[in-house]
Formats: sequence, C-alpha cells, structure tokens
Amino acid sequence: MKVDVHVTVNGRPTIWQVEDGERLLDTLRKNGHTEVKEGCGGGECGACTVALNGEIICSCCAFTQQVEGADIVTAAWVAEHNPALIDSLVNHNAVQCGFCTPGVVVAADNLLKKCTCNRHKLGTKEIKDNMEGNICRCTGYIKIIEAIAAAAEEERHEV
Amino acid sequence: MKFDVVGTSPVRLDAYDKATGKSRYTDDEPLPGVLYGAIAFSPVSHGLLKSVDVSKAKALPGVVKVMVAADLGDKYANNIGAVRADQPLLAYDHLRWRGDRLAIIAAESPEIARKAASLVTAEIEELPVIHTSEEALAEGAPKLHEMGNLADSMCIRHGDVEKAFSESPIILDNRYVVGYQDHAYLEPNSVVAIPGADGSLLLRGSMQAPFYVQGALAKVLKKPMSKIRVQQATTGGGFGGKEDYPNEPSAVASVLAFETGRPVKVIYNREEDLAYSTKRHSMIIEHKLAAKEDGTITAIKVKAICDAGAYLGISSIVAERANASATGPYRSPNVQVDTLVVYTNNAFGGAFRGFGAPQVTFALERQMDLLAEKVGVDPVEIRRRNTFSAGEISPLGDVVEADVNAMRVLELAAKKTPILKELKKGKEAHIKRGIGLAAVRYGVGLHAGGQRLEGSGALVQVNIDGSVRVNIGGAELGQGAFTAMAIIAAETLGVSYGRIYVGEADTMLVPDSGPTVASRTTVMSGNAVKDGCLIMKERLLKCAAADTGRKAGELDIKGDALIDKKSGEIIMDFATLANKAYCAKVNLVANGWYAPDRKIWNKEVGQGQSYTTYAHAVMVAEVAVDTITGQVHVEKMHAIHDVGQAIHHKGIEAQIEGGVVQGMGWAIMEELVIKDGKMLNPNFTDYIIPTIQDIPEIKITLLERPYKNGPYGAKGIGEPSLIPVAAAIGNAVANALKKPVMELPMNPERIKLNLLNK
Ligand code: FES
Ligand code: FES
Repeated sequence: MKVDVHVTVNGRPTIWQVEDGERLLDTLRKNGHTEVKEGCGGGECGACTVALNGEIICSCCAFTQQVEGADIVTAAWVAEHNPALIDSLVNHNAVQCGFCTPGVVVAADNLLKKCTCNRHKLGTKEIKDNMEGNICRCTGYIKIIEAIAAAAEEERHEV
Repeated sequence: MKFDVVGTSPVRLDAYDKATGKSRYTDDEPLPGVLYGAIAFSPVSHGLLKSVDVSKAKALPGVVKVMVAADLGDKYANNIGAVRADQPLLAYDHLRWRGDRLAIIAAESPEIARKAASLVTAEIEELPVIHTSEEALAEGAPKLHEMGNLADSMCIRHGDVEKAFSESPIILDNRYVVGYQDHAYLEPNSVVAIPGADGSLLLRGSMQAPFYVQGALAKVLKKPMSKIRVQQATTGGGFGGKEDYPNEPSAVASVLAFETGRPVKVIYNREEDLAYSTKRHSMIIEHKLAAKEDGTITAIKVKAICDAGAYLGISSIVAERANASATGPYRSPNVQVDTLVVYTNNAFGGAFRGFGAPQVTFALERQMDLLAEKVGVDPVEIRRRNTFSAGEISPLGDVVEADVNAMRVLELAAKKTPILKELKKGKEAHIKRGIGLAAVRYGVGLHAGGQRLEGSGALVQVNIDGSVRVNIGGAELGQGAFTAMAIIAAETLGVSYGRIYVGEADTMLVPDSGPTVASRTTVMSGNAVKDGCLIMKERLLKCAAADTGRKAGELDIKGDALIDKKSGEIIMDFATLANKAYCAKVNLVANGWYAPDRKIWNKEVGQGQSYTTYAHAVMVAEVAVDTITGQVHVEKMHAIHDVGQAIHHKGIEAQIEGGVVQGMGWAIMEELVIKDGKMLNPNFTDYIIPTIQDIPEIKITLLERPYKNGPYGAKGIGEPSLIPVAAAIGNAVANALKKPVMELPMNPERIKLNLLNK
C-alpha cells in the first residue's frame, strides 16, 4: 500500500508515493538524492544527515510518512546556496574519501546559519558540539574543524 | 630542488564532486533492471552442515534466485581463498565461522533479499568453538582444516639469542595482548556485477585491489581473465579492509548476475560489514629482550601469534610484515622471531593500515620503555643508544641504507617535544598525566615475499586539445592517490595541474599493478606515471624539433608551452604542440611502468632485503588518565615523519591526522567483543570509534629529505602515520599510572583493572 507524502526538497515541492514504513533515507535516494549516504542505518554516523524544517536529522531514522509537509535540505542544496562552505572544505583538504562529506556539509551549513544569526565568533568547542554526530574515519576531523571555522569567519566579515 | 607543482597543495581532483554530493559511489549509480543480492550467513561459529532449507526463501515474492553450494555445480569453482584454496564461496560440510555463506539470494529489492536470507534455515551439528589462537594450537584441539590449525609461520634467525640471554645482565620477558580493530570505513562493502551478452563481465565496486578481484572472479567463474573487467568505483575508504575482502561480495554478485542474466548489486549494511569483513589481527606477542647494563640490546626474541580466523585470507602476508617489523629501527646482534598464523573460529583477520606492524611495534616500544626504566635513562636516550645507522647490518640481515633517517626523526622528536619535561599535574588528584613516545621503521611497498606483485603501470594520453588523461593501476580510496598522480604528471610533462584528469582504476586500461596497499601507490604508481610522461614528453619534443627545425635537446615543455631551454622563449602553447603531434601521426598514448629492483630474500631464516626502502617516524603522546572513570584522554600527539619529498603538503597532513586518530581509536576505545566466535557489537553504538569530541591536538613535523628512487623524492605516508600511535599512547599511559600496560585497547575497563593490580 503506497501513501502520498507532500514535501519540499531543496526548494522544490514534490509528492512522493512511499511504502508503509519506508525510511526517509531510502525515499530520498530512490528519488535521485544519492548525495544522501547510508553509512550505518542506525543513527550513529551522520552520513545520511539532512535538514528537516531547519533542524538536522539522520534520515535513516525517520519514516517518510512522518515528514508530511516538511521542508528538506540536502548537500546538493547547500552546494548551490552556500558555495563558500564547500570552497572552505575543499581548500582545507577536509575531503578525503568523501563519504561523510555530504552529511558534514548539511550539518556545518546548519551550524553556520545559527551562528550568523548570533553574529559571534565560532569556537572550536561549538563546532565540535554541533558536529559530533558526523563520523569521519579519514580526516581525523582537524581539517573539517578548520574549514568550518574559516567559513564562519568569512561569513562574519561579510555581514 | 625547485618544483613547479610538486610540494604545492592544489585542490584535490575529487574534492568538489565529493563535497557537493555529485560523486557516485557504487550504490549511487542508477542501473535499470538491477537485482539486489543478500547472503544467509552461518548461525553457528563451528559445526557440521547437514542440510540447508531454502524453500521459504524461494517462495517469497520478489525473490529471483536462491543458491546453495550444490547449485554451483561444475559451472563455478567453490573457492574464494585469496592465498590458499581453503575457503568456499558457499559452505558445505564444515562451518568454520559466522561469515560462512549458507545461501546467496538475488531479489528485486534489498529488503526482499535480506528477508529471504533470514528465512534460510539449516540443520547443523554444532562443534566445540575454538576461542583463542592458543586454544587452537593446544594438543587435541579440534582441527579447522585438514592441515591442522597452524595455518602458516615465518621466522627470523640472526645470531644466537640463547647465548646472549645467558650472558646478559638485563632480561625483560613479557607478554602483550592486542585486540582486533575494524576499519570502519564509512562506506560499507559495495559491488555491482553486470553480465555481458558475450559471457564477459563488468564488475564495479568499492575496493583497493581491482586486480585481486579480477583474479578471484576468473577462478570462481571459470572464465579467462580477458573477459573480466573490474573497475574501482568512487570508494568511501579502505584502510586495508577493501584489499582482499571485496573478492567475496564480488563473487556472490557475479555468480548471481550470470544465473539471472541481470546486474546484481551486493551492498552490505553496517552490521554485516562489521561482523563479516576482515579485521586487524588480534595478536599475542611474547617478547624477550636482553641488554647490557648500559641498555645496549644484545638479543630480541619474539613469538607473535596472529589469530587469522577460519581462513587464511591474506594473513600470511600480514604476518610477514609483522615478522619483519618486530625489531623496529634497533640494532640487535641476536634475533629470533617466530610469527605464527593460526586458524580459529573468530573474526577474519586481514589487512589494516600498518599490516601487522602496529601490534609488534606496541610490544617492542613498551619493552624499550621498560628497558629505559631498568637502566635509569630517559626514553629518548635508550632509543638513541640502540637505533642503528647507515651501513650496519640490521636484524633482518640487510645493510642499513645510506640515507637512513631513523636517528634523525628521533632527534627531531627530542628537540621539538618536551619529552622529559615534568608534566603539569592535573588540578584534580585523580587525573594522572603522562608522556610517551614510539618509533617505527616502515618498509615502504611490498615485502620481498610479495615482490612479484610490485610492478606498476600507468597510461598517459595526450589529447589534441592539450588535455591529459592518466590512468594508474592503483586505487583512490580517499587518501589522495589520484591527486598525487596528477601532480606528478603535471610536473613531468611541464603542464598545469588543471590539465590532468585521472580516470578510475580499470583492469582493462592498465596492466596488473598489484594492490593499493603498503603505502606504495605514491612511489610505485607515481614512478610509472613519471615514466609514461617522460616517454610522452620525448615524443612531443622530437616532433617539435622536426616541426621547428631546432634540436630536441634545446627544447623543453614548461608552463603549458613549448619553450627554448636557453632563452625561455615561448615557441607554441601545449595544445598547439599536441595538435601538431597528432597531425604528424605521433602516438599520443604512452604506457609507463615501474618496478623496483629484485630483492634477495631467504624465507627459511628470514634474512635478506625485506623492503625496497624505509620510512621512519616517531610519535609522541601526551595523555591524561582519569583514575576514577578509567578514561584515557589523549591530549596531544606529535608526529615526526620522514616523507622523502612531500608531493601534496596538505594531503600528507591529512593522512597523518587521520592515521593518528584511527590509531588512537584502536589504542583506547575500539574493541571487537567476540563471544564463542560471534561478534556481539556489530554497530557504532557499541563498537565505538573516535568522534570529533575525542581528537587530540596534533602537531606534525616533516623531515623532507628526497628519496633517490621515489618520484621527485617521495615516500609513502599512509601507514607510518598509524603504526606507532598505540605504542606511544601505551607508553604515555604507563608513564602516567606508573604501571605496566600490556594490553590493547586501553579502554576504561582495562585501565580500572590495571589500577587494581598491585
Ligand atoms: S546512515 Fe544514518 S546515521 Fe548513519
Ligand atoms: S572523508 Fe572519509 S569518512 Fe570522512
């Protein structure tokens, strides 16, 4: 039995027909959003991170039926709307195998949005506290932290 | 030497596509008509398989094919062993571990395939489980294979240890036990097999050794290798875990693909990947060291027992490196090493960054600190007294290379870190601080035992628009191999980095170049790329000479243009040159090749030229141990590495940072809990790996002294970054607690136990 779910994905209104109990991660991937990755399927790694109504979630842990009416943002949207963040990650060599990166991008974009609202300098501790749900096995995290801090600084100077 | 591109840090070739989510990993590729494979694994760790019942699985709507061992018939070979034919693709008779396959299934969706797998039942007579390698070697232990449970062994015989032990005043005889580690690359094992109408096969997947997969598939499918094309898709990490293991899902997918005539994907979930893929070996290391009163080592005797699990896989090759790494950068006139590879019903031992070296390094470097304590000198001084220098005979029987950097990295460590400084006491009395260091001598590339695989190829193609395509036999796992190749190609051809495109590793484009392991890609594939580019450049210059009426020797390509060497005058741009060469019918595809000199090796006594060259490193760790919770906090790490010439600076830093954090995970938190052969924690909630909250401050010091046979002087860095980490942290914890540390991981449970021991 399929049900209709109305959502906005990366700014585009969409109707999905989904199976009962289908995971949001699977629905997204089936509909071409393969930028959302599955690293664990258990809410433990953050590779599947998307923003749902402005809050980051693990899409492997949400049922698509539960997100009726939601606004969903993936890394593909961030790439278009926050190229400075992508540049910063790339320039800091914070991307290695890249499997964690789309999730990192969504979480970092979300954090940067919050911190621009507050207009304060983004410290390492705040970055760590907000990014702890994103596991990266390649980089040792250091370049990810540097990249996010640099992107935040750049944004702060622009405002 | 001054370079144009080498040593700069251009943006990685793959970074934008990966960061924006455009890169396609194996499961991201749309493929019409694709089926999904699943595997019914053994429910027991050891038993006799009487029968398998797949009737319920077959009856499930959406299931297209179910196969058990008997269904392989004569069409396929039921053998997937990487080194030895000891491992069936589908289990029959004897079940030896939980990763044995009872049945394989192809279905219309991954959910249906897994559901069908769960419906497979079997009649099994359970047998007693072998829990440890020592149990396996004990008299009367049940035999896992006809040959018995000692799967393989290797040794080093150098001098007379027993005599030295009887004459030496200091003897340190200890036993070290180190646990498994899972690679936890973020993308689980993933492959897709696409059958061709003519009986050929295209296999794409997440892997580090496409040529291994090609060879394994030819065997299983009983087809000529010419009909099997293996391409490495964008790969979400490997660390050794995707060296030989991908042979298994690849074979499953390929057999199902031929049986159904449709493409078949096999995508592991995290639980399957954690439970059934290969692991860093758990080892027991008995280490006996003798020294004179001043701390000069007189003898080292090591017995290292590697738990291989139920099948050999490539454990012999891992053990070979453990064997050769047991004495580190130290001189010892008398050495006896025995490395045993043992069959058990436990997890499957395999390749993992460091390849057997981290385990023996932990034991050796702990011994060095205990020796320092005994002698009453500091940890740097004890190593200074024992580190060998150029021209000496090493315990492996070879002459230490003239440009050896072992002492240089040690002195750098001494100079740049406060090894001896009194550490600040924690504010709270229950926080104990400590500092420790560890050294490593890493043989870059394959051990002499595997040197037949060392040759590496590259393909260099110049197009008429002046763009350049490069393919290598090595794989891009995330480490940045392709970017390094583009830098080397740009430097050699005299063109800009942006002109170079590096295509995916493909068995049909480049000759067998061995596996992407052993930190060998920069040196081996890098030299092959350089060779191909030099051939190409020579052709282009010859053509330019004819065209311009000048001598080839007076011309060069630099800055994307043909120039006059002397005056620097720009004669034409690179694209014009390429186009001219094409019109002059110059072959614009060149094959590069590199193979290091043959090494002489005597396996019987473990003496000879083990490796082509060595990279040295010293790691310093500062820790704070909470004696109430047992938690170890690694506060600072200082990594000092001999890298030859850095090809990509930021890339090297990133490799080191990643290696340090992964090594720290193994040292203090990662533990595979195995009970009666079954992994009890196959998820990231219970198998804990470092998060962003756990990382230490990392300082990096590079010793850049070009290596004469490396491309532009480069050496490998992937593994040396991890190998000494656990040893350094172990020494720091021992220093903090003033108690011996004999086991890994140093998780809170073990630290608390350690504190309770008198
Ligand atoms: S896949 Fe969702 S958290 Fe790992
Ligand atoms: S870059 Fe590989 S997991 Fe983060």
